[in-house]
Amino acid sequence: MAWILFGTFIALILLRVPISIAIGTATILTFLASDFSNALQIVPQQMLEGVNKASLTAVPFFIMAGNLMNATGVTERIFAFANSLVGHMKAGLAQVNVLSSMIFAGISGAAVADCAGLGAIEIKAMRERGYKPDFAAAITVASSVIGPLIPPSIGLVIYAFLAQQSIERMFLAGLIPGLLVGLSLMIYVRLRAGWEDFPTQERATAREVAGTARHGFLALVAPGIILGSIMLGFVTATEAGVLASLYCIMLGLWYRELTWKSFFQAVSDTAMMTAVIMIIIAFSIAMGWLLAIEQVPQQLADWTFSFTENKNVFLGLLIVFVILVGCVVEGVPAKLILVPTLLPVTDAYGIDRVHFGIIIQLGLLIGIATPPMGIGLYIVSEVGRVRFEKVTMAVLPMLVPLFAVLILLTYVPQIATFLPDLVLGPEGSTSQ
Amino acid sequence: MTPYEIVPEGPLQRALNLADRLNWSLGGAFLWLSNLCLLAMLALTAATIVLRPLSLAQYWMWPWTMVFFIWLSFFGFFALYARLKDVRVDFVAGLFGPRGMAITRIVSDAATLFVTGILLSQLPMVIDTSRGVYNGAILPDGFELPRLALSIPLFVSTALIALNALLDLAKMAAGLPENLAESHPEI
Amino acid sequence: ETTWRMATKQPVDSSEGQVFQRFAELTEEYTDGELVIDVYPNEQLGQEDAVLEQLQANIIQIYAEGFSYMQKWEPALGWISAAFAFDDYDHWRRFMQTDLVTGWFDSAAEQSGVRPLGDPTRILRGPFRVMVSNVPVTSAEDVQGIKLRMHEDKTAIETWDQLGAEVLTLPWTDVYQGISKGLVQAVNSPIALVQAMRFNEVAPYIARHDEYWQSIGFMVNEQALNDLSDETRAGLMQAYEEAGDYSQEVMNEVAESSIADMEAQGVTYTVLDTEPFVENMRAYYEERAAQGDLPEGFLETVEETRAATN
Ligand code: NA
Ligand code: NA
Repeated sequence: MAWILFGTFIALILLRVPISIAIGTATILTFLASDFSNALQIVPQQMLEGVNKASLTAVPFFIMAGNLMNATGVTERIFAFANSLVGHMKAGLAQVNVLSSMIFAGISGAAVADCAGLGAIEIKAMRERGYKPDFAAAITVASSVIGPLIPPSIGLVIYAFLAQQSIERMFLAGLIPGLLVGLSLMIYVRLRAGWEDFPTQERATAREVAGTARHGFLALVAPGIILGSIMLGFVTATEAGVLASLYCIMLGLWYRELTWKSFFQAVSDTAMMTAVIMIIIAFSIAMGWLLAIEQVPQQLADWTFSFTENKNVFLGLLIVFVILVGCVVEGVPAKLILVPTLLPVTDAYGIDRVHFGIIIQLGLLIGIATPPMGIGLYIVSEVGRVRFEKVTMAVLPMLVPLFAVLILLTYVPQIATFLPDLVLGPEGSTSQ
Repeated sequence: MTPYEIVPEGPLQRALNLADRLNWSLGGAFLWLSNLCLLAMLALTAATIVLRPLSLAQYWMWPWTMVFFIWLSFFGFFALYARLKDVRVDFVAGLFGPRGMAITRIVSDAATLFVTGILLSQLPMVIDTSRGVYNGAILPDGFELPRLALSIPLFVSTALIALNALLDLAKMAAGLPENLAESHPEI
Repeated sequence: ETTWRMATKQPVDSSEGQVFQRFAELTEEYTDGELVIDVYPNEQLGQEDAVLEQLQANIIQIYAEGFSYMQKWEPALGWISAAFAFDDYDHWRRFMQTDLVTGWFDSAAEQSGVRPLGDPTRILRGPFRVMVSNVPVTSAEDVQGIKLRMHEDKTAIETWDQLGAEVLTLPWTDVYQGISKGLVQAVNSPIALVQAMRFNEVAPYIARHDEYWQSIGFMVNEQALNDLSDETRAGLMQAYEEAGDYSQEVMNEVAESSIADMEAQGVTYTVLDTEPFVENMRAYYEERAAQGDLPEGFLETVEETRAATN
């Protein structure tokens, strides 16, 4: 079954079939080859299920905010400021790319929003400064992994529900791993800049920094306002996206750079990007249904876990398994299937549920940056206008720091559990 | 390359080009339906943010936001297909030159007809079993939006995509070039 | 040997999840392995409407959730959990076993091929409902003007509006934050979910109000049920009955230990006198009945079963 699915999908993609049609064809062929060949009504039914997901309504608005910032020149103001601050460092804009994702993570709960919204801004700026587009797109997709680790995070909300953990605890647990992923990518960029030439520029004077800060002030405070409103609980993630979009519209009017034409262009681009993402998700949910009802993950899990009783060996198998699943199934359906299946097993090995939640979150997130189903790759290739295969190649070395953090966090559970235990008290003081 | 940039020769090509232009415009119309759904989501959510502290937010606002989100995605399905907004990997086809492009053009259309054909064949079943309403999405007359109304845009888009693929095969047979998104400015 | 697929919303290790697991084990035991039940937890196969469509198509054979989801086939079933219409649990049980309610289930089954497996009140849910608040609620008076979270349901909103609360709609998963940030002051919940959702951390007052009674409906595909041999079906029914006993045991135990646990952490637990609510709602129901909104015979049957001899 897996061979039909992935073989068809990859073959069709390489044969220039549009991705929505390719994933649809692969899904339907797999249905026809399964015990459910006479139940094809499930496909349109589950497509509806896939787009009928409340948490995903945040997606268009974080895309829209990014498009509006492009449409109003706000992007340039932000990058002028960021560039005057750290642009003189080796591979400065690549560092800015990572740092801005860490800041953006405080606003966005979804990696797609980072790739599509912030990514459009980052790649545009890096291209204009002479970075190779594939490198710019790759560092964008790699750094987007930070978004759903640093709170808020849609994926962690879902895990909290499935594993009966508190949302606050999961959010706090994601913070340090998220910062570590950012740090590891910055170190990677710095190391790589040691043997490779990246565009450089002179250090900005204090006066220039002050100038760009004033020039971009209204744009620079936006993340603070939006993050603050979520953290204080006034708004949901979707509403924060709407606030961000409305704020960008007001900025555009204030700067007198927003026209009806550029506004509607931004709206159209947003609608189309959203539709591409949602149709892909729709088909992948249908696929997820088939995997779930055929109990494929359970069989896979039984098979994988029949090997060892050693916890450390098991953890190693676990992260390989999670990464493999993340490569081929979207994060939400993957979690819906995996978490309930694996919890009894991880409990038996004595693995902390908060710790497991962060492992599975990061492990599945890496899947957005890996072929064949890496949704982040498709988005950055779309918004960055770079060939998919070139981004895919360029992102491969950047997976090394991501894997490094995943391995570190797998074998040092305190990275996840320290902060929530500190703030909320150790788990078990309140029974489930 | 869009149908408006093509100069057809002969009655058959002219007829097909006319159909293609209609299809292109219809894609634009669906793009606008998606846009309107997005703007409705924006307006409803903005209203919720403002009205909630005043205790004036209406409970139907969120369900309707979800309905518009679903419609945005499903109307967008045809729009992104017709207006070439989907992701396509063309480097392999490019390696084989014009022949590679021609073969993959047929493969794409065939895959499209396969997917849309299967989806459309399920329409009677979906109509038969889609019962009930979308909770909270109330209409002016006090009733709630039927669940079936959520899927209809998906099937309309699917049918139009199938026609689009058939049209492209006909164009190919008549010697007309395929519609292509502006190529990415490449490195 | 037959395999049935059973879909649920709950996680495997929740108390309801344990009941479903026990049901599956008992079924296998009592049917001598003739019927095996695979449980699919956590909405893996989709949300309510999608799962009910799969149930109709006999792709899955059992869906364990509230019967109110069957109201899309028989609207009257939307009223089986009417708020403050019943004096107590036994009153509700008597009502659920009347010809009126059986007729509603028959009507739904005729249209959909889906019906309850057995006695629709057998598997307990909840086991009872409470209001969790960050201000003390000790009487019906205290509900006046309280900012109460509600889901997007017209009747539920009207009910609490009628009872004097200031109703705000909020997704279930946002309630914890909503209370801690002062967006709302209170939420209605089954007692079993209070600790799981950590509401007690932000709202230390819990008042039992028995808003309405709930069971977990075991909705089955009629065709699948008929295809079983008589012996296998008897084994299945025996498993259902025993799973029902087990649900009473587990749910009450969970509720008791959870309340004790929360009280030890400083939560105030009270049992409200709900007579004023029932009185208040009587007027509301009569008004809805006059407008023709209620199913025919609903209020009469509620009254008839109220005074029934045990
Ligand atoms: Na985040
Ligand atoms: Na970035």
